[in-house]
Amino acid sequence: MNPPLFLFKNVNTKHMINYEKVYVAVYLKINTDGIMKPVAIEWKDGARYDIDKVIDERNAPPEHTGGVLTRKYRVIIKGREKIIYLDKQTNRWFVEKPLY
Amino acid sequence: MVRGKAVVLNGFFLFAHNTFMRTILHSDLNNFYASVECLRNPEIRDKPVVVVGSKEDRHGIVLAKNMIAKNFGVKTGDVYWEAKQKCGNTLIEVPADFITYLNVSREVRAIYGDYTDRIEAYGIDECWLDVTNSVKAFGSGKKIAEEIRERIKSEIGLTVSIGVSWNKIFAKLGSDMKKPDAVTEITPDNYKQKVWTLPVEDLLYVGRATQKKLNRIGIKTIGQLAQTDEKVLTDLLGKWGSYIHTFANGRDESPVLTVNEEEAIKSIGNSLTVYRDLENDDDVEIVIWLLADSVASRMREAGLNKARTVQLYIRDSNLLGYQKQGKLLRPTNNMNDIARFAFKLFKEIYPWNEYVRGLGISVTDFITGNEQLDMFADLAKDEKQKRLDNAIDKLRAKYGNNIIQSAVVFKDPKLRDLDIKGEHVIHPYSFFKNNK
Repeated sequence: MNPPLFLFKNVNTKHMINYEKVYVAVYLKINTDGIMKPVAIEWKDGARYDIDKVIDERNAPPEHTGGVLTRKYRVIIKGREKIIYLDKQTNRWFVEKPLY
Repeated sequence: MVRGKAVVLNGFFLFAHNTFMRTILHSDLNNFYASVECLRNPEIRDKPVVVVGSKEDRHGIVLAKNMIAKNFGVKTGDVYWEAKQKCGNTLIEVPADFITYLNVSREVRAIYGDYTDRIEAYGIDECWLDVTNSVKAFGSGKKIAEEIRERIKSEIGLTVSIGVSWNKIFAKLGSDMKKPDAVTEITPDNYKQKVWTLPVEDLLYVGRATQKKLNRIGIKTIGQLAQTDEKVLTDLLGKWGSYIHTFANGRDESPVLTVNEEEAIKSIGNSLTVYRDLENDDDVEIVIWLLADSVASRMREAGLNKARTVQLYIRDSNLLGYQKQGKLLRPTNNMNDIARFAFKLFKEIYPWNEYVRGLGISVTDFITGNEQLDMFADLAKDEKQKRLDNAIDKLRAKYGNNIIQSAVVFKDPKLRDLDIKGEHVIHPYSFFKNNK
């Protein structure tokens, strides 16, 4: 029997996890200067998660899935750091969900 | 690039210019269309990928390929089945999505815009940047190039190769030297090793015919070209001889113009390799109308002005090519005019020795500014035609390209179903526009 993968030091199991793109609904606040900020995301089942803070936003491609012209938002939701993406061409928002 | 001594004056560093040199970057997005498709869909990244017009009915040609497909020997311009033969069943074909490519190109341009406003697009994936005036703020040309390369990689996810030099020609050569994701600097100190050792055909505007002529008199490298007496070259090649002699010596002084991606479109064209051979004038007429229709509606879509010249390409079943172009009596953006004119060209040149395998129409020579009114033009008719075109465009935007077609194409139901508007042929403006 092969030993479990994590026993090998140089095997990065992070790459072996597949990710799936999940589109979510997003509540946005547009301030008087016209600057847009996400305030909450809403999961498909209707569950709403408030965004406590946007740490950083920048143009960047998704880390694990495909996407062209996306904007990456690092946010804090319930005390944990999460990443959400905006597809600038379609105005759709998505998250990357690991498939275990 | 500023060469000179740094002197301290009143506590500020100033450069004493003994020779003034520009700093020009040439930035080339590596395998642009294919890279965008791999970014969109990472699963295909490790497979040979080609971007094609359309693969059905054998009329798709390869517009771009990734490195893996390139290693299999796939070339831009191959017909889809040729690419398939080279790569086997692992080949992934993706239809071209021109709107996305243009959007990505604009985003990349916004990054360039942080460093200079002198940006000259050369096609959709190449640009010259004149950063002479930003060098002081950012350090050096090479530093700017490295920063742009890093930013395009992290913000867009694409790789570029950038050439840095003091003229446009060497900057372009530099961007071709190391690919992908690299910066190459060509300086007055190293150009003799880096540029002069290259084969002469690597120089911009040395095509196959010029290369043959040069090789015949023993000029194989750019260095040999540079050291040949200019008189010999002008005798051989006319004014071009003098141009390429200037290029080879790094004395090209053409400015970086401000040209954006849309303006860089020189001609708009569509071509089609047909699913069956075309046997008579009637068949050819159908295809010409289809192509003209698509060309005209794409012209309007791109917001381009009327065109003066129509070009027709014909490929017969022995793959022999014919080409003719002609000037229209009046500039047009209308399908009827383009189709009638193209058919006239066809009748003039095609001898019907063989059946026709492929056809292509492109329009070029777009008018700029206001159109001069023609004394004999029927303005009321023109206005009516414009309204009709608008209505057709609206219908198509709503229901798809094939919702409305000209009656002539209904003669062959299979041809009728082709949606050829997806096939894009875009040519960059000539390097010599406004320059020489």
